[in-house]
Amino acid sequence: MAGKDRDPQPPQEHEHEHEHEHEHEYEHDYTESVHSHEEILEHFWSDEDEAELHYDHLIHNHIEPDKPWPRD
Amino acid sequence: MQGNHPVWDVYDQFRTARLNELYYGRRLLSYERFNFWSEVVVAVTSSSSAIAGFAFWSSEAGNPAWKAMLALAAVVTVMKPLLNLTKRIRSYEELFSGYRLQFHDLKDLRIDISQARDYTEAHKARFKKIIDKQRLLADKSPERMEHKRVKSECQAAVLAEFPSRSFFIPGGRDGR
Repeated sequence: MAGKDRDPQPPQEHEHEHEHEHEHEYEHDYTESVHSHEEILEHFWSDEDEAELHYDHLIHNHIEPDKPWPRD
Repeated sequence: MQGNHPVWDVYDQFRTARLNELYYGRRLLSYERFNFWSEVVVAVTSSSSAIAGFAFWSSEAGNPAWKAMLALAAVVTVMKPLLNLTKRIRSYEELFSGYRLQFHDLKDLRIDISQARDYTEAHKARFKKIIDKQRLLADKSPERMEHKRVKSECQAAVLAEFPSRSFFIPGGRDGR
């Protein structure tokens, strides 16, 4: 463990813990806000045909040519 | 028929990787441009902007233009968080660089096949590895639908860049 190599400094460690807590808090909030934007977009573009295309696109997650590449 | 030779799988994938590289490159550029110009519109119309203080905007010709800019800035300000541009641009960047790497791996393989004048088991194993890596690019597409026009332009560009006759086929044409 990296912590064993250093001198014990309880107050600093406590600060670090506090910082980590903030990081997690920030990450959590950020992810939540991204999700809510996604939900808004999903709602914004909700249409049966488009939803099907969206699903289709998730399966084929890369661009394929419209027809097979010519071989001759 | 030489069109059935297994080496064509490599060349098909090679052209598809190039298609994806071009396609996501173009999409990335469009979103970067949109992001840049939306920032410009918002910055120009902000009250602290020096441009907002131009006397021209109070003139008969300038006033409607200024009002239109303000309206555009308002729409952009509302739409930007909904479009989540930063996240989209990041996804396009990842896809673009991912497919660029794949294209270069396949380009290397294509050269090796041509140099060896054969499609060996070692080449097949390398091809399999490259294809497996593609899974890492899964679920990264920020698109709901493909952009048809961009896709067909990119397809035409790939075909012009790599026509079928430019590939080495073992045992056929200029092959053994």
